[in-house]
Amino acid sequence: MTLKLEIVTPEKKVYSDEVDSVVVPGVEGELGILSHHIPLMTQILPGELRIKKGSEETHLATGGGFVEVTGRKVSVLTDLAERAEEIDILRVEEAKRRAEEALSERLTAEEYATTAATLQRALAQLKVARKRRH
Amino acid sequence: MASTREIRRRIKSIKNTAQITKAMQLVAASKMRKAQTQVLSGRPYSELMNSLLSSLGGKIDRNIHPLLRNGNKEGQPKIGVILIGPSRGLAGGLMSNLMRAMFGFMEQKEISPVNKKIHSHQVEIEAVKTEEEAEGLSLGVVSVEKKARDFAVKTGGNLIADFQKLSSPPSTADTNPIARVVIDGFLVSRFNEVYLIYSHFVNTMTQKAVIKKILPIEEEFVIKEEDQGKDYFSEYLFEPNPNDLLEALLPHYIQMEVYQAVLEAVASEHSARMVAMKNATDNALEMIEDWTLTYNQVRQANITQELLEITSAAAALGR
Repeated sequence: MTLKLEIVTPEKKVYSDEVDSVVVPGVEGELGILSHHIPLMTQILPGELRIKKGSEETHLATGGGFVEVTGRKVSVLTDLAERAEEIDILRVEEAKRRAEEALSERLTAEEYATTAATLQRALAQLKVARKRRH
Repeated sequence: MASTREIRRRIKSIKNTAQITKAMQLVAASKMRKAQTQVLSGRPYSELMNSLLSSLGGKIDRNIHPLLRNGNKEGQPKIGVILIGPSRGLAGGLMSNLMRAMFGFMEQKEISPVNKKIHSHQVEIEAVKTEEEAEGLSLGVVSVEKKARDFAVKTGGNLIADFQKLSSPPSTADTNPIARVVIDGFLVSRFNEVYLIYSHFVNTMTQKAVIKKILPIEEEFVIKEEDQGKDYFSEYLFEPNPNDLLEALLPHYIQMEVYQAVLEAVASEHSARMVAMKNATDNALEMIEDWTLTYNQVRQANITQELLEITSAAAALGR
């Protein structure tokens, strides 16, 4: 039995395919989903999303968002989803550095939240990209 | 008949106009392409978001979260409207379609624009303003982009917030504050209904003015009624728990609704302007053709006239 996985960001549909299993970075730890998972709705944090299809494994860096599981379908809504091989390490490191710099300055609560989110996303991207490339 | 010089001047001026409209057309066309790809690629997300909410529908009690709760139904509803217009003019019938939709909406909600005008002139102090609200005449407008603001001011709408000069392409950083204003307004009962009014992008030739209710969140909860009977809903799992999840999901949903609406409006604006400018250029070229024909006729008539004068003079002399 396969699962129908859909990953969508506000910019585009990143992934849509039948897969065997998917592991998402849930708010309460990593969450593996196989087919016939009970209906579930949860929030995800910036991190790594792993997709298994046959012998092939795909890694994506995701931002925060939501996951819905119904029967055979998994929908992932997130503000970022990038395949490991697409991540530009230099750019991400630059983003991370800027975010860290910004965080050390005085910020309003809102600015702090957005910058912290950017930093978290950058860290997730770096983690995924590094892991893939050794 | 006009002199050749006059006609020449006229043709030249039309040519200048055609050049300008052509340039505007090309600029709008390139912006339009970007905006169209953006709006189309944003749709899967908002569709998925809607289906996410609709599957929640059967599962939860409406009273669980304030954004789902129907406001106080007594008296006249306090309505909030986010009006998203074009940032500049020369966009064909785009703004007038929006205006028509807005007037229709006000009529339906029994808010008279004339009354509003008189009121907003009389009302100057904050305290009186709340009294006006108490009278139930309240329509709060949050305008996005310049033309929407101008319209809201002219009809005497109660302008609550005005957002302008969104970045291009618009990002959630631009639109989230808009969502914030209405969510906050809803939570403190400043409004008990909030609507989005914007131009929905159908295709390059067609844009439709749309009125969409976004608060309280309800429509999405009705669509999938047939699903509510299925038993898998009874074992729907929420992680960490329904409250926390809704607390994060619902405001995000409103933000994404506003974001998508702004994308639609931007794509509509550039498309409408592109088409309007193309029509203007075509008209100008047609006029140039007409005037060139007239110019040639006049020129020919003048030559014939002169020849006639010369020959008749020569004939008179040679006699």
